[in-house]
Amino acid sequence: MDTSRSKSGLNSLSTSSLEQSPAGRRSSGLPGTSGALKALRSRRLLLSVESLLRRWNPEPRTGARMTEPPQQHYLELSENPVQFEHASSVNNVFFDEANKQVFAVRSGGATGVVVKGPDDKSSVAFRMDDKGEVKCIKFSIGNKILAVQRTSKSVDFINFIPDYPHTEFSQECKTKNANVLGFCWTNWNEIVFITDQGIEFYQVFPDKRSLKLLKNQSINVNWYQYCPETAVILLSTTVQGNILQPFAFRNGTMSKMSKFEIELPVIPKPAKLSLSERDIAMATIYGQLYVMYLKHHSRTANSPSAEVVLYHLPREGACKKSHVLKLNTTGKFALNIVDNLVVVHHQSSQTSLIFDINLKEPDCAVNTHQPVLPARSIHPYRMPLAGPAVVPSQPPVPCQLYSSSWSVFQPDIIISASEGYLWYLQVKLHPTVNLLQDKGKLMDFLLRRRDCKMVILSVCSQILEGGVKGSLPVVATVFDKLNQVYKEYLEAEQSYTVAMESGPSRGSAAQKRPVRTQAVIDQSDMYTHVLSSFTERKEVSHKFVIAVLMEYIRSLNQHQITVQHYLYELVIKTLVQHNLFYMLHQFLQYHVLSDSKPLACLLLSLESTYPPAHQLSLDMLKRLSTANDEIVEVLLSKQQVLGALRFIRSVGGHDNVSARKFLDAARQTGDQMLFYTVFRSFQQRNQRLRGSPAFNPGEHCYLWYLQVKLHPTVNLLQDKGKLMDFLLRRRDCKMVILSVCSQILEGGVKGSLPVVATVFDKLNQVYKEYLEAEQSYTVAMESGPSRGSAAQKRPVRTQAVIDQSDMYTHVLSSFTERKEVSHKFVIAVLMEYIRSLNQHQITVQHYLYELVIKTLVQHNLFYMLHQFLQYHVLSDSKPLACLLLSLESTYPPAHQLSLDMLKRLSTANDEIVEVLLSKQQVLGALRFIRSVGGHDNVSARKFLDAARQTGDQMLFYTVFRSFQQRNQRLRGSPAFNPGEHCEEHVVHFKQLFGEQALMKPSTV
Amino acid sequence: MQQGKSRAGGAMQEKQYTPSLLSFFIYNPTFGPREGEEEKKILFYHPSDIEKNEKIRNVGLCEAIVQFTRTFCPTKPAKSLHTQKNRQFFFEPEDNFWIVMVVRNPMIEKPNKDGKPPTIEYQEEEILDTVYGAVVRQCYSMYKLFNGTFGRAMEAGGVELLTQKLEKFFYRYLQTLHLQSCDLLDVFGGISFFPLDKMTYLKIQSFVNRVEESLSLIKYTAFLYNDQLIWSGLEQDDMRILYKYLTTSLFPRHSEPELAGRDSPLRPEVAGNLLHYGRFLTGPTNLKDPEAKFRFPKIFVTAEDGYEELHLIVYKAMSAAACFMISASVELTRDFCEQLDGLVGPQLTLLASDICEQFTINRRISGPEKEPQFKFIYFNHMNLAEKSTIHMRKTASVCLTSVHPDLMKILGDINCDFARVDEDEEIIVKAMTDYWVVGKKSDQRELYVILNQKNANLIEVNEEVKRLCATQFNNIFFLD
Repeated sequence: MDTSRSKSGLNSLSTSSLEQSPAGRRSSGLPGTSGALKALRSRRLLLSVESLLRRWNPEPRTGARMTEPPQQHYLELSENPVQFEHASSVNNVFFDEANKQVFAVRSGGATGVVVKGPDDKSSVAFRMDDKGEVKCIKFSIGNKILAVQRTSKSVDFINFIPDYPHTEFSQECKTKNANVLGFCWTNWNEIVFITDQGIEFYQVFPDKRSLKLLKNQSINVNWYQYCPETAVILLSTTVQGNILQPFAFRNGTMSKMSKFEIELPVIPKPAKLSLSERDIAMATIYGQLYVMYLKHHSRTANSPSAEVVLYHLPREGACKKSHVLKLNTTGKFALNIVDNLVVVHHQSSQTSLIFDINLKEPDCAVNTHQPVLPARSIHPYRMPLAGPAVVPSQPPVPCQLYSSSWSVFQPDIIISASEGYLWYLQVKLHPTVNLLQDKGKLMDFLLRRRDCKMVILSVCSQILEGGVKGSLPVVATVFDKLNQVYKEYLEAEQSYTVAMESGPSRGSAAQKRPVRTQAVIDQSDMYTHVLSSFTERKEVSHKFVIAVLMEYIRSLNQHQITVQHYLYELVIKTLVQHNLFYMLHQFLQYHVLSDSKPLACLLLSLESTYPPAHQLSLDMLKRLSTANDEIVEVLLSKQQVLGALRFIRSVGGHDNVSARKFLDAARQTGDQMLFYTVFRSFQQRNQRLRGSPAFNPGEHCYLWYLQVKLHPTVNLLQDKGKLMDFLLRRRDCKMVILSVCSQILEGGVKGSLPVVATVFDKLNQVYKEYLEAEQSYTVAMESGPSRGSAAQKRPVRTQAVIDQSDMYTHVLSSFTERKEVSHKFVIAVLMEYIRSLNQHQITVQHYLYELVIKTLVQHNLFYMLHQFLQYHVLSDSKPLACLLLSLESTYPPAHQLSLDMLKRLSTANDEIVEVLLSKQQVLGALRFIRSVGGHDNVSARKFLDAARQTGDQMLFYTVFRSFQQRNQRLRGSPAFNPGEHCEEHVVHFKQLFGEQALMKPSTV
Repeated sequence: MQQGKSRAGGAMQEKQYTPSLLSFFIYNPTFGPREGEEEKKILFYHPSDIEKNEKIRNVGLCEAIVQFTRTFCPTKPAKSLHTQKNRQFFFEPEDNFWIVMVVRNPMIEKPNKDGKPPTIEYQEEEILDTVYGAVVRQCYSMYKLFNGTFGRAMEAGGVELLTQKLEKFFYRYLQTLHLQSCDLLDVFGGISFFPLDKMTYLKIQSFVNRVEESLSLIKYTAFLYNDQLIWSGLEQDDMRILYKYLTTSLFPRHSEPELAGRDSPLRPEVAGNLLHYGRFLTGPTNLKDPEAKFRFPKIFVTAEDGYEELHLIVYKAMSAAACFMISASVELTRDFCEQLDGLVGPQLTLLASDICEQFTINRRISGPEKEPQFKFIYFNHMNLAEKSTIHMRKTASVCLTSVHPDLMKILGDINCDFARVDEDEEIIVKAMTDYWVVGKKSDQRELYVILNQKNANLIEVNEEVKRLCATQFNNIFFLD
């Protein structure tokens, strides 16, 4: 057949190489196109331009066009095929695998050569002289030089470089009597001739129009194959043809690689060529060069079906049989490599299988593979009816798939010469999703594909949304697989960065930036495309949502990938939405949600709904150790100013912290002492740091400084009188003045009493002036606005007005409680203050007296008290009198003092009566009330009650009669008014003394 | 624990008695308001062999005290009554239901010469209201966990059912009360958490989620290791009491057979499944047994609408225990249990060994210097986390402390002080026995430290406590 093919100029572009059996090979062209087509392959030995052509064996067409299977097709032909003039008697078609160019040579080139490449740039049209039938035609890389083989002895060259002579030049093969099987360009100016006796490696000098032999090697060659990607030529040697010798070419050098033997299923006897070039293909899969051998099943051997055997051809070292692909059927096959998948087309069933050699098969022996997916046909393809020139309205016709006119080239090219199409085979990933039930395996498969990202993400969504029972382990497996790839990328990136940083000199030049493939699904992808929408789905139980999120976080952690904040946020959001605070709490407790500032802030924001979040947040900030500022902020916001101050000191941040912030917060609390403390603390800091308590202007504490600047004056001005004069004119002086007072008192310095007196006088002077102004204002207001001039304004109470209440609260009350101060001094101070007040005609408030009395009583200084009262140092008042009364038990004279006082008050007759009655001095009371003329209005009942309680019948009689007499006098009858509620006593009186004792209404 | 402990010192042998339970009763004054019907008020009385009239008298007295004290503060009725010989605690868990516990004060018996009867000295001030008040509340919570509220029993079957339930529950429960070893920890009623690294924790999460997913009957899951909590699907308050039950009752009961030798008759028969070590602590002891009953204890937990009744399945493999809670409306079958056993057993066994491994690794990393030399009790009100280096491992019968009861009492006192104010504070006490006791309150946390440094001064003690906080609590926020 080979002869006939070469004789007839070859009928077919395609040669089916992977056939059922070597014996079954036919030479004739495709039915219907027989003789019309010129094949690309021009030689019996496979030396031609077109490296590997695969053509189907002619099979009787039963017209059984494959009915479209209901299943989805995962293979398709490229949308935009390269179109060329189809092969005919006048048009020979050639294909160059290296440049992926189709040559349409009309009439040996005389009427034109049209070259179509994968893109317009590589498409050329030209003319050349018809010097005989073209057997093989190829451009060097970059379309620089065209090589044309017309005879079996020589190859002709035409320059396509501008400005170089265009005249053809020719090169005969060096080996005598050798036939040129074909040639391959390995560079723009390097070419290899393959003859049946060896190979010759030339350099072409287009300017000199000559070639120079670089190297040659003698070896018997049956056929050859060329892999342009790796520039490796594979030669079939020995009689049986199954010893393969590869050569590698690079930059003008040729290196011999180790040869290897293909195991034949049957050893023929006598020996004859048993390994056809059609059963061999070379391709790179996952970056490695493989020789693929289609091993047909043999009737003798017990392997029932065909298989593809892969030999790994490393750059260095021996070639090894590495993979076996089980086809599980027999017939005619063709091979493609698409996206690192081995695609095996099976013509009789019109289906294709795909294999992934990196997919581990758990239940198969190592390196034995079953098809990844069930067999499916290529997706139906429609093409315009009569080529590109056809009217667009005409409907496209379905293309005959798996046609025997198809030629298949590596890696992914299918050519139909009879129709003038070149397609690239493509894998569609979407349909695979439903074909592969095992999602883990599916992920393994998808992760190795080129355009996998969206498919993977959609698979993830699908798994989650399906919400199938028991899907959680599947989800976990899928996440683990994704993160494994993600992790590897991150590590590569990391080590690249490290290498870059350590300097380009040390990092070898081979260190390349890792390529981020689509298989790298990072957290952002996952979040955007899968998780965020998933968590929002109403119909999914929140339990499942959380389980999935935790599963993802677990997987990331397991691969030591830092989890991004937004994932945590998603978890928290979901938990909060369902009020699962306790769950959240537990996650945080075990640091499942890693510490970070944003997370801590998020927690803080939850405080109102879940109070413990506050503590959780603070703990987290503490652990971060870089978040001291935040902790301070949190504490300040909670008005824990001292806590914040202590914290910042404990972590040694006191020196750099902003004083203003603290002072602001302290002031907001309204607690003046707190403010004072904080302020002093910062002053001390300033002193320590800069030798001065002043704040830097940059600290913006001027306002605060102003407020407190008065404090330092306290110690600078020794003359306290002068100091008071100074302070009383300052604006924010109140607290300072009070603290000065405390200081003077607490100092307890000997001879300080005059100072105290001076200070009190000065204070009360101001106080008095204010009171007077207030008084005159009130008067003016009361006398009507008309008389008071408009200028009469309410007096402003400045801070310098220190009233008794201020004094009592801030100074005196605490002072009197001090144990270490002698009571004598205490009383002296109190008296001094009262004196000063009196001196300024200010009414002394009761609580001051009370303070005096309390102090005196405490120290049993009753006699002193007595004297004070005697001299009215303590002004009379009802409360004071009552206070005195209460002292009676410890100091009996107090009773008297009290009564005296009540008496002096003159408005306290009722109180005196009460006191007397309570003391059972009924007659005394009666006499008193008579003496002050209150007898007529007094309540008889009160007296009678008291009299009766004494048990003294005579007393009762006396009192009773006294009131009867009063009644007589007032109303002309001794009877009591019903309003006086004395009926009871009348009855009592009758019982004691008889009816007749009652005073009769006198008629006198 | 110090019952009958004798103090050395001359020929005189003093005998010391620890506090003990005198009586425990529950009554509802509305059940017998009329004279002559007083007995109807009493729902439960321990000890039961007491004469009826005395019961009535005691209940009446309590009623009177509560009524009387109510006049002073209607919102806060009396909580306890101190007398020379005993102390009574009152608790009204539900409207008109009162639980009263009477505890005899600890006492010292001093023998007298000449054959006179010994003098008894009651130590009235030795016991703390907070501790025993908490014990009473715990009694109720425990009853509620297994029976629901009193009101629920009343609705279901009236007084008769309630008294039955009370009798059944408290008869056994009161025997497990060990009043002499009650202390601060009872006040806290905290939960001890197992320290764990994130990854292992996530594995547990994953396990829980998977089990809940594949056995969708399971409503809640809790996970414990080494009697310490790791995960709880229940809310905190329910977990608190369930935790108490598990760690003081269920686990100790089952650990004793575990600790016993392999050939001991106590050891439960291995179910014949050597693939894993999983077994049910509640429900059937042996799944293979055709007679096995698939009945589990029922518990009541709070739910959105009141309470929820659940089956409690406790399943344990080595030191890891998982509690699965399933709605009580579902009947649990052999199938379900087998399914659960098949699913959970292997995974839990694996997890248990993982956790154990992690734990030993962490321990080795942290080294022995991190082991606490301090005696302290830590409690966080917010998450109920407690940690004590004072208490030895709890056993079924008794809880051992390594410090003198006097010190424990000081701790209790400090705790009372803390309870009174809302602000953070610190109290340092020098005990009679050269010990320093430091109480510290920061936000929701309380820390009590006992230091044995004879000649230390206040400043040194303060420094020491700071050091402790820095080493033991470096990852939480403690104001100091």
